[in-house]
This record gives sequence, structure tokens and C-alpha cells, in this order.
Amino acid sequence: MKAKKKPLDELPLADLGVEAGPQVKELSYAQPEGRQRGVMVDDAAALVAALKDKGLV
Amino acid sequence: MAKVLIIAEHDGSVLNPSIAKCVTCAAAIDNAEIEVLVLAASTAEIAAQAAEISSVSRVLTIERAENANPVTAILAPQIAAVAGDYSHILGPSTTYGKDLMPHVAALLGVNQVSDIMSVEGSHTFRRPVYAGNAVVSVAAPEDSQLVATVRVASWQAASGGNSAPVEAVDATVELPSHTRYIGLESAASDRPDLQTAAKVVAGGRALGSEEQFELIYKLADALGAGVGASRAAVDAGYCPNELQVGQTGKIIAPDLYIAIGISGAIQHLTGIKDAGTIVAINKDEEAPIFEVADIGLVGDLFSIVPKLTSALS
Repeated sequence: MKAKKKPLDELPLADLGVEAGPQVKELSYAQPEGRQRGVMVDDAAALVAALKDKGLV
Repeated sequence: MAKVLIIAEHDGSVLNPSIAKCVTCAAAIDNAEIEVLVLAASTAEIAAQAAEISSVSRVLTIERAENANPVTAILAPQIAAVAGDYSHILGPSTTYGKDLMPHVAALLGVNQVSDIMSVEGSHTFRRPVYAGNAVVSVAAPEDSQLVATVRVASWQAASGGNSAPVEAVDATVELPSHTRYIGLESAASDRPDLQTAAKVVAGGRALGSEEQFELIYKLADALGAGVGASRAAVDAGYCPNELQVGQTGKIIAPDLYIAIGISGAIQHLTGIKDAGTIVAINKDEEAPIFEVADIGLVGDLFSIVPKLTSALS
């Protein structure tokens, strides 16, 4: 309850020498480009073959 | 005419590959004159690497013993001191840039634009929000300097072959003494750095224990890949925090990403959606990771991963 007795000072924003409000404006929102579902393989050997096919391993 | 200053991330001798990507972003700004600033205790080697990046017109160096380690409180005042002539000050959206650039922005009294995905105009950019579930176009005020971080995963590295002039600049600002470098503790590893590796193998909670997470390291070593992990695996203590991929971890874009035993929570997917090819191995065929995977394999990772490792070794 003691906190309620503390003085509450109000300072005008202009006295603080800072500019209020966001500087950066938001113009528009959009959906990000999604990824497509790919192919399913059956086992490890098929996965290795698929990766070799793409030149990744 | 835009004058762009890119703050070089490095480890004391090698320039971080993210900087060549920042240069590509800077070059997307019309009529950009691009300069790179290297702060280090010994700048020659790093500056020479920065000078090779195409479209860089000049490399500036500030060589001070205090710059031996990347302490934001030490670096930021020096950057602010030389930033006066520049319209844009960019850094990579890596742990380094995310720590440093807001400090620079505060010293210059401007708002920061974070995670630039694409450049629409000299002060208009697209950036991801809501964990990558939306993309917002933002406009920064044209009459003040712009401080921004570049979303490394969205940009290709600029090519080499350039030989830009290197110049030392004087930044005799008084440095604060309230923040000092004490030491660095990190899990030393010979594997490629997760953030910049061309291939990454990542494990999730399904690995089940720290010992079984070894399967991930073995496959990564067979491929010469970096190692990542889902938050679930990190929280369960299977691997160190620095391997975490996703919204609260690293945002990466390797050519090949292999997710093993990772269900694919949206917070994880946001960290990998710019990967070239995503491979998912999971026993649950309904796992959301398969919605984004280019190649999916449903099955028990404990039998599949050793087979993969031996086939690729």
C-alpha cells in the first residue's frame, strides 16, 4: 500500500527531446511463397538414388 | 545515390560468408555505392577477403586492440562515429548482426529495419513477420539514415574477383569500459558452420537420447554437412543450444536439408523454408514436415539412418 503514496510526476513528452511514434511505416502484408509437397520414397536406397539424381550427394 | 556501409562479420581472420550476401542485398538498392567496414585487432587478412567481393567499391578498416573480440558495446560507438556519410548501414541477420545493429541504430537515433528479404526501393523493403507466416512491406523515412539487418537466407552470395581499395579510417572515439570480454565457451567442432553450411543434417526429439543423437553426427560427417536440431531435441538435452534451427534458433538456407525425426512444427519450418532441397525422415506419415519436404521417407530412423550413412560414406 505504501507504493500508492509515492508522488506521481507527469512529464510532457516534448521536454524529453525524443520523437514519439514509429518511424518505419508498414505498407502492406502478403502471404509468403509456400513450398510444395514433394515425392515420397520407399527406403534408404531409393532416397540415396533420388539425392544422386539431383546431384546433391 | 545511396551510400551503403556493410559491417563485416568475421572470426578474427576469416570473413563470414554472410557478408557477400549482404553485398548482394546492398547492390539491389538503386545506384548503391557499397563499402565494407572491418573492425578487428588485425584487419589486413579480413579486409583483403572483403575487397574481393564484386560491387564493393572500398573497404574501410578500424584496427584497434579492443576490437579483438566482437563486443557490441565496443564496436557500436566506432561504427556510429564513421557512419555519418552513409545513407544505409547494413549488417547480416546473424547472431553477430542481431546483437550489434540495434546498438548502432540506437546510437544514430533511428529505428532499425530487421531481416530484409527483398529491396523494393531505396527505403522500402520486404521482411518476414509472425515467424515467417506473413511478409510485410515497410518504408523507412527517406530523410534519415537507415540501419538494417539482411536476412542472409534470402540472398545469394555476390561473386568474387574484385580488388577494391582498402583504407584505414580513424575512429578515435572513447570506448566504454562497462562491458569487457572475459572468454568464449563453445562446443569446438570441425564440422561446417550451421549457418553457412551447404548441407545440413538435423535431428529431432525422436532420436531419444544424447547417445543416439550420434547417428546425426555420423550421417553429417559422411556428407560433410553441418549439424542442426529441432528445439525439442535441444530442450531434451540431446545436443547443444547452438544447433537449434527455427524461429528462436538459426534461420538457414542450405542446398540440402535432411530432417530426421523432426515433426516440423511451424517454428521449425520457418528456419528452413529457403533451403534448396528438404528431405524428411519420420515414422509418422502425417507429420507436417512432409508438407514442405521435397523428398519424404516414412520409416524408423534407427534402421534408415545407418543405411544412409553407409551408402553415402
